[in-house]
This record gives sequence, structure tokens and C-alpha cells, in this order.
Amino acid sequence: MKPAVLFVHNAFPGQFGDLAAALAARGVDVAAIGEGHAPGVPGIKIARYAIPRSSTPGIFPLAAGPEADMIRAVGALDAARELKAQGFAPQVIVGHATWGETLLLHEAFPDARQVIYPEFFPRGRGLQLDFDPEFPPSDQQVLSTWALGAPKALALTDADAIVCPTEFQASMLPDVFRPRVRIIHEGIDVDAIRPGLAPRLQFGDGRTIEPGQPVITHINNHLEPVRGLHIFARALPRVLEVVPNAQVMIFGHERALSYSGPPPEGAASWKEACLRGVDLDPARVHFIGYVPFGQILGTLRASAAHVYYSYPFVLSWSVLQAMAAGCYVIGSDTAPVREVIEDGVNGRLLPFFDVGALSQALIEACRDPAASAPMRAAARETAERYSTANGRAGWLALLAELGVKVEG
Amino acid sequence: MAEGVLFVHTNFPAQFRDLVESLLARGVPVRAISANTAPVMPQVRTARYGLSRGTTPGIFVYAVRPEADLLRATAALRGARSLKAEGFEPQVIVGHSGWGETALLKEAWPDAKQVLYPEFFYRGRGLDIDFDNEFIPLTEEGVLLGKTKNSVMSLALTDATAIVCPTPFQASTLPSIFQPRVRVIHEGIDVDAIAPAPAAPFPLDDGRVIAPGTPVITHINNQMEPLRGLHIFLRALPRVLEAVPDAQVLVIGDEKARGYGGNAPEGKTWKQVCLEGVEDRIDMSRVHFLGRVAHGRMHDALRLSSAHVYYTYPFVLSWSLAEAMALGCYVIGSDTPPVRDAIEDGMNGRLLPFFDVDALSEALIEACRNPEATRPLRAAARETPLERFSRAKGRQAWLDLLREMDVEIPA
Repeated sequence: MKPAVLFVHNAFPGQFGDLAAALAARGVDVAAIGEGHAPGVPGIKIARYAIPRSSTPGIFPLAAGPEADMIRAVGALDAARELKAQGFAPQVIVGHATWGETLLLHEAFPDARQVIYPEFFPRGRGLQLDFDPEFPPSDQQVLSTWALGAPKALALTDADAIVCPTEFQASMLPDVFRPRVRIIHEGIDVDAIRPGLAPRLQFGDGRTIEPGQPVITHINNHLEPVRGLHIFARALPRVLEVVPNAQVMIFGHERALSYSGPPPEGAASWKEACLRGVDLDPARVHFIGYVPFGQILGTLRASAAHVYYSYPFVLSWSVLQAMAAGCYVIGSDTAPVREVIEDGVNGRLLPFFDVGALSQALIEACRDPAASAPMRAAARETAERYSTANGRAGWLALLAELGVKVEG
Repeated sequence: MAEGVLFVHTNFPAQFRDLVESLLARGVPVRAISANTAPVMPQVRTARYGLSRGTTPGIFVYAVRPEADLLRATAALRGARSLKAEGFEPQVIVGHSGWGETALLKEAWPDAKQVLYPEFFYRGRGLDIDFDNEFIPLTEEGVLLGKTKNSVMSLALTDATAIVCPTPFQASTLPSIFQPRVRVIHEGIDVDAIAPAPAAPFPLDDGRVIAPGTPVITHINNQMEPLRGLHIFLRALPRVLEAVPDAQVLVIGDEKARGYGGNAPEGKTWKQVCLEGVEDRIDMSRVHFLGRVAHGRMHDALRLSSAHVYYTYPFVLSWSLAEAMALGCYVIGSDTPPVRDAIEDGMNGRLLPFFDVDALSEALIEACRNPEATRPLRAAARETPLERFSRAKGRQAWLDLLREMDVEIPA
């Protein structure tokens, strides 16, 4: 019988695109469950579910997250039954745990082994929520975050294996789950993303940044403090004053919602909250918004320094992409970043809240770009460890252990 | 500095009474958190909580239990914060994890070790929910509710340094990931006080008295429900009462509409439901429903017993079985996993297929006619609780566990 694997991710493919395509190319019967808006992967059948109802008005706030997960779980179960009715019978289910979708799948496929990808485990303390004294969480946020762990923990009790992309993300899990954890980073495309000559950067209005001009880059998907926007913004005025031809390119959406929760009182967005009291020259600090990564690569190649700061939270693809492009990354000395950067070896690590240290490091990078050459080369080597090929090999080995044998 | 033990149980002291008394007697500081409906144990400073609100109307059905558990968790945390404000810092928290109360306690005491007691981990299939669908048809909702009931309990168990289950079967209901932390400790019964003794005449409420030597069949079923086999037991009776004209039946338990196994249909009590279709065939003058009785009277009934019937779906084991065995009863049990933890067929009692009414009638008739034959089984039954359900042993195991968690407990 042909081996079969089911992927579950509300925005399928999410992290699983390469793996799903690789399995399908090797003759595995692959199907997916996703929400109505999931992009899907050409050639892979997807059962899409609609969310059967909305959250109950007035629900006890701590129960809102668990209820939302249960609602999705029922949607995903319906989708699973649709696949089952078509004769699909997976040996292995690979599911993302963050939205509760795997919770009830045992009912449709009791014999399937489950590989659960928790990405992160919500904790009221010790991670991103209470990291920054400037934005302290309310008691209710802390308790709701703990409570959100309930459906996650239940989903993990069904896991035959648990995959985390980084050691740090694995360390968020309650230690009882540790024996089933496997670290497999899905990887980034290190073949396409590689160092190259700095291009001339052109803006819509015709202005350009010439190769050789100092460019500071920062990718922050939701423009929020979880990824250090406030610290970065505060470090810039000194840099721009000391390095008169420096330009700053910032990529990311301005959004009301983010990993940080709602913005603080009086601010329409986290971007606004982060930039409060900071005077930045719009002619030199460019908020590009969200653009596909292909359009960012050129800017990264022109980068004199790339800033990646993060609270203790999920590691972004962007830092690995920047390293793959051979950027000189100045990172925050926080757990997720320490896992990929060793200070002075393949980048820099600075205390998260030390604005002065960040300004100083950026000024030096702009003034003496040659000094960072060895670290750029080492960054590229680090990124190669996080290749899509390595990620795929890790996943295929795990699936083989669970009974899905494929060629090659 | 952290010192002492915090107990958490909706209905404190419940299973923990003996352990609490043992710790107090040894000078270990003890505090507790309970619902405000729990009995009062004056020796223990207890933060008694009330719930700030009820279930949200219209909530998604699978979120009802998580919400209720989180309401209790939040209320228990309030209780914890009040104990903390008084300066209490427990070294170890011992909590029943069935109602969610321990789930947020790390917020008050992040460094306290937790020992959790999850009596049972629910499953939509393979345990109690789909065991017998005669009265409550198996529905998808019922199955999924079984699964989702465990949400907050799963989270709570991730905080446990050790997990205590009273029986191997109950431990086996937990997901395998938790097994390395599980230890089986039955809190035990007082096997010294609950011991075989000559039967005494047993007065009934209507003035009649059952004399020792009469064939007596006993059955204890706290909520008088099918989960503990009431329907099978009652259906077995007509043949027994006909074949053994002097047999008397003593049934102990509260007639209720709601049991561990859910609500009885159509607004009836489970007893009414279980009697349907069989009542006319039972000589009710010889079947005595005693209701809920004092512990001593229950033992008096068991001492008269020719055969004691203990049937259960795959669910938590009742204390009454351990007590009946400690009293040297001849127990006819259902051949279901919880009972197999206590009884080996033909060695210290009998095990019969749960749904086989005739087999039960047959065994009961046999027991009434030939009580001598059960003597070796009764003697062996007495040994079982001495070994597995002794309070002294349970206490010792708990104290050892707490000492492992660095609680200083004088011998």
C-alpha cells in the first residue's frame, strides 16, 4: 500500500511546503487540512474547513483561547472525515499545534501516528510576555497565556513525536514532553539566498542608494517590540548623526495585532508606540512595508549591518535569511538569537535593552565595513546548516521511523 | 524559606485526610485550598473559594469543561495568593487535578514542587463512555466531550514532578508521556478496624430483622447507577430470589438522577431506569434499598453477606470494594479492568462478564446454597487489602514520596 501522510496547518503549507512536495514527489499519498484561506500546494489535495462558529460573547477570558482551539478542532475533524470518505488513510499526521486543529483527529484516524509541531508553548512568565519592563502584561494576560497551554498540552499528549525548529523553542515545552522532542528546522533556501554584489537600491520616487553607501537593515514582520523595534528606533538618531550618509531600510507591516498582543493605551499600533519620542528623518529611514523576500535579498546584499532583536520567542526565518545572504547581523543577546549567533564569531550579540551599545555597533559597522568580513563569512556557514535540504532530510528520517518509507 | 505542604482539593480533605493528619501529627505545616462547599477541617487553615461566575450561556460545548476548570483554577489562585500574603510558601503542593484547581498555582509559587492526583484521564472510547450504551446512546458529542474534558488536566499534569494514581488501571488511563512520573499509591482503608467479625442480627427500617445465617446478597452503589452495574444486578435477582426462597438482598446507595456516568434519561432516577422491565419479576419484599447508611451499618450489612456484588464500567475503583474484601466478603465482580486490579477469578473472589446476567444469577444462587465453598476465597480476599489497600502502607508511601521532594518529616 502506498504510504500516506496528512498535514494539518490552518494556513497550509506554512512550514510544511517543502516537505509535502518532497513526499509527493517520492510517491507518498499526501493530503492536507487547512482553513478556507490556506494557500495550498499545487498537486496536493487539501480539505478546507470553515470555522463552524465564532467565540462566545462574554466567555470567561481565560477560556477564550481554549474555546477557539476547540472550534477549530471540530472544523478540522470534519475536514479529516471528508478525506477519509475519499479513502484517504494516513499512517502519519503532521500537525501544527498552535490552533488546536489536531485535537480531535484521533477520532477520524485512530491508527495514525501523530507528529506535532508546537512552534512554541504559551507561558505566562519567563518568555516574551514579561520580558520587557516597559510593556508589562496585565494579570489577566499572564493567566490567559498560561490557560492557552491547556489545548496545546492535550494535543501533545497524542504526539508520537514532537518536532521543534530550535533548541530554544523546545525548551519552552514543559519538560515532561522532552523525551519525544526532535529538533528539525524546516530550513531556508540557502541556494537562492546567498551573498552577492550590492545592487543599486531604487525607490519609487526615483531616489537611489548607491552601492557602497552604508545601509542598515531591519526586518520586523509586525513592526513590534517583540522583535526590538523600539530599541532599534532609539538607537538610530545617534547613528544617523554620526554617519551622515547612512540609510535605514525597515521591512514589515504596521498592524494592530501582533505577537505582542494589542498595542498599549493611546497607540494605534505597536509601530506608533515604538517610535514615540523618537525623531527619525523620513528621507533616511525607510519603512518599506511588507514585500516578498525576493525583493529584500538585494537590500540585504547592500547591508552594512542587519539588526535582529527578539524577546525570548520563536526564531524568525529572517535572521537565517540575512545570515545566508552574508549579512553582518547585530543580534540581541537573548536565548533564541544565542542559538544561531556567537558573539564576535558570526555576528554580534548585545544586551537587548542597551540602546547605546546598539548605536555604537551600528556606527562602527558603517565606518569600517571590511572589519565584519570574517563574521559575514561565518554567518553564511551557520545558515548553511539551516538549509531546506537538511530540514527535509531530518523530516524524512523521522517519518521513516514512523513507518513512512520513501525512496531517496 | 519554603516549608510545609499545601493540599488542593475541591472537597478537601477527601482522599487526603489521613495524610494531612499524619503530617500535622509530625509537626509539618499544612494549608489547604478547597471550594467553599467542602467540609471544614478546623486544624487546617484553608482558603475556601467561591466561583466568580457560572458557565457562559451558549458557550461551545467542548469549551464548557475547560471554562469551568479555568474558573476554578482562577479562584484557587486567589486562595493561593491569600495564603501567600500570610507568608505561606509550600515546598510541595499536593493536589487533585480533576477540576483544574492546580493549573495556575505556579503563578503564586513557581518553585513549589507539585504532586498531582489525577484520579482518571477521560477517553471518548475504550473506557466508561462507550462501554455500555443501553441507556445513553453513544454520540459523537459524548465521545468528543470525553476527550476534551482532559484539556486543563493535561496542562496541570505538565507541572507535576510526580503523579499519584490509586490503582494500576487508573494509572493506565493517563497518556503514555506521563507514565514515567506516575506512581501507584492507594490511600488505603483502615484494615485493622475493617476486619472480619461474626455477623449480628440486622434490623431493617420496617422492624424486621435479618438473622445471621440467612443467605444475604449485598450490593453497594453510591449513586445507584448503571456505571456500577445496578441494571445487571437487578436483572440477575429474579432467578436468585426464586431459586433461593430465603435469600435477602441489601442494597446501599443514594437514589439519584445524576451519577458519575451522567444523567438518567427522561428526568428519572437511575434506580427507576434500572428497575424498568424487571421490577414486576422481583420479590421486592426481600430487596431492601437502604439508601445512604452510616459506615458502621454498611459494615454490619457486609458481615452478613453471602455474596457481595461489585460491578463497574472501566472507571475509578470504589473504596467499598476494598472494604468488602477487608471484611472477608465473597465478592462477585465484573471482569473489567478496575476490578481485575483487586480480584483474580477463583482466587480471592469471582470475575464474571459484565453483561452476562445469567452468570451472575448462577453465581449468586451457588453462593447462597453453598456458603462453605467460598471460605478460601473469603480468606484470600481479606489478604488483598492488607497488601494493596492498607492505609498504613498508603500513608508510608505518601510520606516517603514527600520526603523525596525534600519535605522534612519526622518519623
